[in-house]
Amino acid sequence: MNRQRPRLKNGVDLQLQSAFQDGNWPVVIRLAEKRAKTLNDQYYEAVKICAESQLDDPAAKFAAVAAVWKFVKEGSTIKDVDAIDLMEWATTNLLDQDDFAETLGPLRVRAVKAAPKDKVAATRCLESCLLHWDLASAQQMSPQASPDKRKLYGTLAQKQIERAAQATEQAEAGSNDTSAKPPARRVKTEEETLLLYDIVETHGTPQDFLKLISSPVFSPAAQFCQGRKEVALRAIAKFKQDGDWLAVFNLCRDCLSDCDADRQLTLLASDIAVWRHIIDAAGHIKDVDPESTSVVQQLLAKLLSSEHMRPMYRRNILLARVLSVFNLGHSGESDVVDGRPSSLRLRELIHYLNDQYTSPACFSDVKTLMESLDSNGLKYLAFEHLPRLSEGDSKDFKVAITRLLALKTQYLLLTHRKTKFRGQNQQLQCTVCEATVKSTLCNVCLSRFSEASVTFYDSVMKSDGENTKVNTEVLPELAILIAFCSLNLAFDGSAQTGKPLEPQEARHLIHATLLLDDQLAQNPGHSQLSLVLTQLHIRLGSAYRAADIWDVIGVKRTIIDSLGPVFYDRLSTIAPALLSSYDSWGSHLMDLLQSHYQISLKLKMPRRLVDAFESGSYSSVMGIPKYIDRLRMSCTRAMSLAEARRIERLLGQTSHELESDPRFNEVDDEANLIQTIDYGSFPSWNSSTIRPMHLNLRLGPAPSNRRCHLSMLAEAFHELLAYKPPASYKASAGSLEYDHIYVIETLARLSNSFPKFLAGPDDEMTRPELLYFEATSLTCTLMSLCVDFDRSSDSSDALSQITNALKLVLENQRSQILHQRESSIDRTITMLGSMHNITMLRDTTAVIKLGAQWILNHNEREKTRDRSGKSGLPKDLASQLKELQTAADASIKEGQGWISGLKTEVMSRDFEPKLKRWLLDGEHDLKSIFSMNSLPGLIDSWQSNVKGWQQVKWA
Amino acid sequence: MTTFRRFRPDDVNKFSKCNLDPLTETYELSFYLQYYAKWPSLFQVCEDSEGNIVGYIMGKVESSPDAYKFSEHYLPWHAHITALTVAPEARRQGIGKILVEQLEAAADVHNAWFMDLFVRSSNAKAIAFYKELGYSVFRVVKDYYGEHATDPDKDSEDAFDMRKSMKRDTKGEHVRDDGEKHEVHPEDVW
Repeated sequence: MNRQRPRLKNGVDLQLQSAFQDGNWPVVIRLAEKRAKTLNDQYYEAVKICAESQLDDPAAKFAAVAAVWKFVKEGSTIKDVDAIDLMEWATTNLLDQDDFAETLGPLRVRAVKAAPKDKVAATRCLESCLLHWDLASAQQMSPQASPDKRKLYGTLAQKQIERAAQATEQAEAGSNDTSAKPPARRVKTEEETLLLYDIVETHGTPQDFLKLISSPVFSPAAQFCQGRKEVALRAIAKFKQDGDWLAVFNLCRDCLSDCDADRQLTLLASDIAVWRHIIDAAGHIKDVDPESTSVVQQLLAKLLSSEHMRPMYRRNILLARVLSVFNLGHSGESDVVDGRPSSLRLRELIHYLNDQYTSPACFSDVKTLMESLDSNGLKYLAFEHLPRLSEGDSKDFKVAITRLLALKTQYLLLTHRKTKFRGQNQQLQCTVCEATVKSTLCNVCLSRFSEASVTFYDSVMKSDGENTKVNTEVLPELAILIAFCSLNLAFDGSAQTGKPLEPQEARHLIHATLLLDDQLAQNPGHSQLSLVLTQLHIRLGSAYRAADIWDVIGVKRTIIDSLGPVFYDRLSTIAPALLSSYDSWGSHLMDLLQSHYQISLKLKMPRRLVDAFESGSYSSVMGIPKYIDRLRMSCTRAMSLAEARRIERLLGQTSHELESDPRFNEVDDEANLIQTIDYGSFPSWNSSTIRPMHLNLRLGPAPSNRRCHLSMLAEAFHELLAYKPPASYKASAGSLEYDHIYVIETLARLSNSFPKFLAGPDDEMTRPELLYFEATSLTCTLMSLCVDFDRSSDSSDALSQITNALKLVLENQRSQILHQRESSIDRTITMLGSMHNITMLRDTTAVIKLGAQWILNHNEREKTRDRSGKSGLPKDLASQLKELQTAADASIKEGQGWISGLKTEVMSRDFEPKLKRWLLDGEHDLKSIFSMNSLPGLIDSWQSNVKGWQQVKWA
Repeated sequence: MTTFRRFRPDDVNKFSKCNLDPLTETYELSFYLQYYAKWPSLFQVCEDSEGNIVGYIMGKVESSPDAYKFSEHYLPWHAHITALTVAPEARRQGIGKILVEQLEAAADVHNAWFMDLFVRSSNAKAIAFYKELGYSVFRVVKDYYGEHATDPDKDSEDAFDMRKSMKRDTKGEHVRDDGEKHEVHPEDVW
């Protein structure tokens, strides 16, 4: 448990204590043996065994493990809990975490049963079982307990807590009687109430639950009015899950009606989450209960008449009013008639905007509502109402932020994908100019919008005087908006992730990057700018600059799981040397990614779980294991392993054994890995009819269960075949045979696992990744078939087909790289953005070469073993394999040639002037506002990457 | 469009709006879980309509160890604000104030004598914010912070220990008007 050396228990003589503390193990063994004989104390036996397990001798090292298994099998009881603690310490890292429930867990149970009155010992044993998540030993109700016991525990828990709840109700009912003493065991705290709900929901009948929610003390509404929201939120979630909208409505109504004390609006009564639930519920029941709509309106009117309303409460209630009109009002009426707002919903929305337009959160508050307006309604807001509100001096903060709101609304309209039917044909129509357009978005309107935004940006930049708030709160978002126009022009609304950028697309991306880099220099650490720029630089192959930006925003520790993929995913394929563990900067970056899991998942369950038990925080007792289990199955955690392994492979560095890495050995084929990426800080201004920009900017799809599994299987393949024993190691014939069996069995396992994850939608990985995984899977199958090859059966056709398929995969992989023969800036920029595809080609060639070589070696051995010629592969198959190797070699040579050519071009003196000319070539909306100040940073970053690529081992 | 509720562990996956701000520190998971495990009602979050956390407050209730009971620096049962953060885009809407009030309500449920917090003496904005909420300086902890936030020539900075009486302290015995004149050393603070 505690990996640090423990202290021996009180009462142990000083000589033994100090030998133990000094790690003088031979002395400890001698002294402990003596004490055990003299004192006949089991504890000293344990000290001796633990000391033996600290010796360097590999056999002695497992003394404690062997002893633990022996005690368990023999049914012995170690009564001394200190001795068990020692054994636990000595077996740490030697005993599998999952074996705890069969070894130390039962030993601890026996110790507690042997001394039932020793509460200190019992608590220590319980704590240890919980931390190892051995609930069976901890005798908790859980899936680990057998079903009949689970039911028994459940019933007991329910009876007990219901009795306590009843005692509380009776005490409350008789609360006027001051002489009555409150019962000792009653449900009192919020945590106890939550536990009551948990138990009744899990183990009770629907009637039990109904009884609970009608309790005068424990009903969700009664709890809500005491300021306890959790119970109400849980009950609402349950009712929604059951589709009981009437119950949702009644509960929310009760909650919202009782909470305006003395005509002062309270936080609870203005809770927008509850308002959303009641409006949602009213929408569902309005046909059967027409009164529901007016109940909502009356409640709103009552609260709006409250006195001294705080700005936030007022905002929530006003928004609830708009929401109610959108959800409960008449649908189908035109929002604008004769150029004037006509529908109630648009008028209500305008009323809200007039009140809240200077709030920075205004756009995100109403974005979804604006999208539900008809296009004339949204156009009215974007081009008439909001621009009217924003008239004035653009250096004035209020004017500037309102103009930004108007521009965001116009952008929302512009990115709204609208289709119309002409005859049988479906056509795309621009929502602004209403022209039929061929691309997803209307490039004419997009350019016009970009020009208007650039003019505004320019006017703010050139105006005299300094308004810090405009510079820090308006300009960064305005720059992003302008950059988004450029990116939409590049991607035509939605990018094909994983596809190398065409020169024209790259030019738009670089324009956007330079503008945003300029803006970041004015606002260092601005999170939105930093995140968009990180993605842009990675997409352009400029990973070193991305790393600089990433480092400043300080993504580390707990938030690495949800944000890590933004930077690290596929980074090894772009810039492997950036994350090299031989480089202090690289190992710092990798440590930021990996240490979170090492620290947070050190034990099966964190010590905090014991804190939760001790503090009576029952909901936390449930919440912590749920979160920890999810973290263990996180795609980011698996990604951290895949990235680290690929870097080590590409740079020819030594790795730890994959099997010993918990990120690998805790994930079997059945494990469902969960993706969590926090996109909350990315600007989300695109209409919901097209992909959000942060998804367009990704190098490829986010980590998924399938891709993570495939990546780990591919790494297992590389480890299996690329392993070379140390030169000093001389293998015996017997051990060679075992090695061979191990390889064959692992290959069979991989051949079986790959197809499980290869089948699925194509949009979960880039095309080069899919080709690479297919090549690895095919190679595994080919190898397995070659091992079992039987000349008498006609399987050589199947083998030929697989080798041909591998050749095709390789060819296909080459075609993913847009290479031109002639040197040009177009070629350089395209190649710089193709690093991911080049790495995938490199990895595919590595798999094919390793596989083919292994088969040919195996074939040679077989031919030597059996000279009859019956065991070896047919000659034509062997020559096909050699051809495959030759094709792989040719691809390697080609790849090396691209990288060396790239180095010459990027490092040359005329690269910068050529790039400048190329960037300024032709008409561009952004030309007037971006400077070339950020260009050297981008070039530096590319140069560092190309230099780093010189370390990559190709074969 | 925001709502307030208790922290749930999954919220850390939605912390970016707060924690990417350079003024907000991101801790190890065990730190957040410690507060969630021990004082769940004193860990409150503010969530926007997309489920992003745009503000949170972490607090605890405790007293000084019994061994110091007779020390002049002994702190009786009280609540403490460990961290308060609001995302830059959600500032100036009163979210911080509501979070502190929520914590004060939880402190009253725990029967705390007072609420306290530490703030850099140079952080005028935060000091004004807390003063507006009824907090006052109780004592000055000399050289509490290792470096000065605004003056690079100084290698340390004082902390203001600010306090506000909770309902239990009906006589206001745990606050003082002239706290800025009461100086203590970091070793007197436990």
